[in-house]
Amino acid sequence: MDKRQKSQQMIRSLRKRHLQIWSALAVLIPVSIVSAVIARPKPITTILLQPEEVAPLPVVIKTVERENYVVRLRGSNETPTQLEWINRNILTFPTAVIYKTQATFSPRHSDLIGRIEARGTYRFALKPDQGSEYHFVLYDFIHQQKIDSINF
Amino acid sequence: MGTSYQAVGWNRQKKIYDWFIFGFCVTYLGIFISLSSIFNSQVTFETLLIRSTSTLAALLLHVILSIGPLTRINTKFLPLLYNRRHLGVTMFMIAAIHGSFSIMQFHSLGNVNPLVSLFTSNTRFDSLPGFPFQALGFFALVIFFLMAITSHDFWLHNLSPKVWKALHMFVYAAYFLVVLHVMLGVIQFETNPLFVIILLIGTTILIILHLAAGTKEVHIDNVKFDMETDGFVKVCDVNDIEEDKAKMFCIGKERIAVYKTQGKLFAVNNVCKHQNGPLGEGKVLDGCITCPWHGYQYLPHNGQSPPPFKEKVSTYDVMIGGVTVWVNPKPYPEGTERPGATIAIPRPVDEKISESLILNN
Repeated sequence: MDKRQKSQQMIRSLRKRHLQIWSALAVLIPVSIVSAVIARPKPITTILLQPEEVAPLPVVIKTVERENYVVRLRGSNETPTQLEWINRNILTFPTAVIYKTQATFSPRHSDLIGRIEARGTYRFALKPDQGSEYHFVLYDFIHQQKIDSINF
Repeated sequence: MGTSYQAVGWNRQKKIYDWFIFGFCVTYLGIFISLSSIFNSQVTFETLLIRSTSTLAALLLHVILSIGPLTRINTKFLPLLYNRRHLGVTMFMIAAIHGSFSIMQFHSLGNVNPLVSLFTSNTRFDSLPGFPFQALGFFALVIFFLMAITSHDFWLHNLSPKVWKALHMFVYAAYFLVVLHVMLGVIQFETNPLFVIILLIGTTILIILHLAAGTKEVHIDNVKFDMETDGFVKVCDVNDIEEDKAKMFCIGKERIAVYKTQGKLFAVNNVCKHQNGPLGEGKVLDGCITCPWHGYQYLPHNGQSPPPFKEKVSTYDVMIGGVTVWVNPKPYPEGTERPGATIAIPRPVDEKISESLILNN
């Protein structure tokens, strides 16, 4: 077979090869697309540290409002036994803890109430207290700095 | 068609074609970046550039890959084929911008070489959603690069059409890599189904076009010619061929184009010497068979390009019996002159009657 004949054969075989390649791609491409869509990670569902299902106590005793969150003292009567924390907006810090403290704050000498995340509504139980003033501190335990003070 | 090489043999059509491509790309990028800036103002310019060039390159790739089968299905699309290489090089450049900015944005801020980081920062080959999709895009870009730098006729001639064609068929592998790059990349993070739908539409159109065109071509190749006399094969009737056009017949190894021009039939090999274009789908212009792909020309009676050009194709013997066209599939050496078959002009009916009356008298 001379060079010319080989060249001529090549064109016909190329046409056949085109069809073979696209027949394979007709299977491979849809399979790849469907597999990739199925493999997509499911959206991350928010699992709150303190489930929102904890029912709010009926009486709102005191409220402090901030731009990004609302904090309430609740109870079954006029004695606060529950701290309600509602994040209005997504907070800029991923996680923080709430301390019940005295007028001057020190993590060592404060009661840890609970931990919150950047979003969600939280309700924490409070020990009944005879005092009329309640001081809370939102504390970034990663960077070890006070974020906010909430005084009732 | 040229006797020497130059970067680009500009003509009016090429200039219009390229200006159109340029205008389209600039308009697309402008609209994409403007709308993205309005609706998503927090995105950085680098990100906008990465996103806009990726979608534009993908769009152009789909257009490029659809041109071939479209021309096989309908010759009206042939003008798109003429400068397809320009479109291909443009697509590569846009894809290269996308790749460069992606590497800069995602791999250049560490203490590892960005190209090393591209292949070592993610090695989750066992995970589909976490697969290192950027490497897939990189390999596709390498194929586009090889195609772009060898797109000039200089490489076509030096590599030979066979090698060149084989190399450029890797575009299909590159296309598959691009599909995977998109599906395992942005689609894994993007919840809007629009992206998947657009990609599905694009891939479906391409698959249908290529399968339809491929089936048509293979069907033409598989037509059987049974009647044979003295090496000649019956192919069609004289009237089946339009003036200054051809019909193609795959007898044996490759197609033969039988042209009708100036009262004669001529048969030449169907494969153009330039890029193996189908000569039988061209037409006779200025007395020359003209390839529909890039305008290479051959004289019908000897298969030679008119001087000073030196391309030659094989010629064949043609014979007319009554109105039946017969072709001998044994090729003559390229450029061999053949007389062709003269088409007997049917005389008008009035003339025959007059002649009959004269004879009877």
